[in-house]
Amino acid sequence: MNHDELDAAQTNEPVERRRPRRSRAQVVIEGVQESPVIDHPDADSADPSAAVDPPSAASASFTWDETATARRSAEQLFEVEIDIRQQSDQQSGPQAALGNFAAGVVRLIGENLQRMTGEQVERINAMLQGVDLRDYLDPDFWKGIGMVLRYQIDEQVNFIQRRLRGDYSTDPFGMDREIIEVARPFLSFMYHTWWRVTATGLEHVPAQGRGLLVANHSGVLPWDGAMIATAVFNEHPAQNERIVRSLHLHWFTTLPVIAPTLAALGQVPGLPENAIRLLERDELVCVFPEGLKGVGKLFKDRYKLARFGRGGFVQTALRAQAPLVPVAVVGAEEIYPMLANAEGIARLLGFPYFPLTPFFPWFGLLGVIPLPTRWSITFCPPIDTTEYGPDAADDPITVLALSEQVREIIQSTINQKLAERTSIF
Amino acid sequence: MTRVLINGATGQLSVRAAQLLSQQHDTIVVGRHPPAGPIGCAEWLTARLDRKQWLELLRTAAIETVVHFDLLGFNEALPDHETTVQHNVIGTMELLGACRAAGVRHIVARSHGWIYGASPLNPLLISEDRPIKTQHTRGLLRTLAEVEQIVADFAARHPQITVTLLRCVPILAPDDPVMQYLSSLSPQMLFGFDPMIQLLHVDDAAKAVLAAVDQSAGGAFNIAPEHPLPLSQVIRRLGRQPVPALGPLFNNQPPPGWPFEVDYLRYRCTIDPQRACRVLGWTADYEMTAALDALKPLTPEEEQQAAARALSEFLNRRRKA
Repeated sequence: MNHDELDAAQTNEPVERRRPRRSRAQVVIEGVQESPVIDHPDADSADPSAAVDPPSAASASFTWDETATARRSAEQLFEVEIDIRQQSDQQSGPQAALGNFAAGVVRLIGENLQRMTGEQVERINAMLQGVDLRDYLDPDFWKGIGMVLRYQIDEQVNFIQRRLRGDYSTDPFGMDREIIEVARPFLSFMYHTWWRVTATGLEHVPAQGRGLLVANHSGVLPWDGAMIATAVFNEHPAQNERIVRSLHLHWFTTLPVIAPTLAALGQVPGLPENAIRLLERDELVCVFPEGLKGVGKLFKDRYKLARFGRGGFVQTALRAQAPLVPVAVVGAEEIYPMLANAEGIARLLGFPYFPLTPFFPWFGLLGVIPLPTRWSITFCPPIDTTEYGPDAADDPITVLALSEQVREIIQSTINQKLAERTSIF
Repeated sequence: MTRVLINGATGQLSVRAAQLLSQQHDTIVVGRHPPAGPIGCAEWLTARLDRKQWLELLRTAAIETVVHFDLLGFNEALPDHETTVQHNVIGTMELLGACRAAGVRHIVARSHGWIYGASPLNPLLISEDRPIKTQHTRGLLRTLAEVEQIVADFAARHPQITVTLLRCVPILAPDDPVMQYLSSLSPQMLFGFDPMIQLLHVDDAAKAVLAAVDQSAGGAFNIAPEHPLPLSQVIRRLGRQPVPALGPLFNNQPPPGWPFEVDYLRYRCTIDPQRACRVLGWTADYEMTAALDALKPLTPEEEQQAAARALSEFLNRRRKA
């Protein structure tokens, strides 16, 4: 087993995965890291039974909190994985290889765990009762792990069978929480590793009740909406995993595969009726008033906000009496530097625009991979709309003034963030 | 107690509606064929009436309310276009004329919840004030849009007659063409599309007819369960697996057996029953999932429970009578 590889695995992975919930992960680390330091250096060389004898700290720290979510349990498993890797690092030969393998299996279980319900997590907890998860030389470890893996595979099969029976629930717009859970690891990867997003001002996003996020739109493909949603879902201080319902251009509804995927992920065709209905259901809605003029912006026009439609988003917020939260996204403009718009091809294909970037369409599908710029998303203090009353929605002066106000807030925040930024990447 | 005439005896809906109506009203069922099931204590007449005979029947029986179900395409495959126009459009005109001459006070006609057309611009739930699509190219809706216009015209010209249009989404009954398609062995869906659809339990539809007769409020009403489901989920819940079809993406022809335009497999056309809730006091008893589950064959235990329930209901009815 190559030591460099192991080192690389060790140094990369913890950094990548701890980023999301710094505070909570640290609490876990404190509780867990004591144990290997104290009883494992000797356990390394001693026979397995010695390590099992004292009720080990690792399994004690595994008493799952009643309210603990599957995610939190998974993070504990990830900590165990790191410990095992550290342990196996001090050894050589087949034991190190075994340790490496054990760490991989623990990680796999942890990742599966993230998608499970509280009840299922509890069953796994019962299976692991009395198993010292750090002692991979103990046969009990492998017995426990084997049971859990089999159980998890069974549950996966159940999950697929249940989906095939049509036994799942969607909301009236077609949002499917199970699909969101499946897509989350990928979106989190894009968020933390690819674009290294820093989100600030999340406390301005209402933790409960309706709210209308208004953001600048950029980057040819609407990745910015996905990242705003990921920021609120993962990092909101209330930690209640609110799903942001982005309004997308209704043109996307005409595209095969994309249309049902967007719907399953909770995105909604951007019609005023839909926005009002969502807000009346006390959802968090995200709009991009620039619309096509924003996403289809040329690289030379980056970070210059286009016209904010006709203020329809303000009317919606006023009618539903929802607070407006301006959101400034910096970094998304550079993910696909759109040098020109091939209008002829776009018209031929029925697309609203056809981007020509340094990589697309010259490199085919490879050109669709976005550049790994560094992003920042700033949520600004909310604007209260209740003081105007719902009738103000029919007063163009108020509507346009509010629209302009939101636009200026976003533009000045963008300018400020651009000045602070030292590098695009 | 109103004297009600139901025109059209084929299909589960008219049978269920006749059962419900005949419990409270003096009901006559007229149809070209004998009723498709038991119709409660309603009387029935199997005949194909012409204009004069209609007038005679309506006058002699002193009918106050006419329920018009006799439209081709709801309960059977559609014949050729000419026959359909003759039956649906001309038939409706003749009936309306007879109603006017005989002094009928209230007409309830059936329409379709998909009359608005499937489009990417449709909001989540369409309300009645959205104009209907008049340029349907295929199937039942092609003549039904014309029928709706004729009925709306008639209502505008004869304010003394209350005209109610019930726009029901497809009904979960074995004779409904959409249901037949969805429960066929391998129903095809359009590759890459999965629109939300609504399907109505037949009891809920019959309840809506009863509410419309009782309330005699004019205008169009959307009748549908409020919570739509993805098409693929509906098919799966019916015990089938959807098969993706690529062809329609290119030639825009619906897959074989689909009775409507291909757009209904692509975009949503889901309707908002709020007005019916508000004005008629109607609500769907069956959520769509419950309505779909009700179609599943019963397990022996469930069969026993259902038998006990049916028996006690029956005995209760006997005691009251």
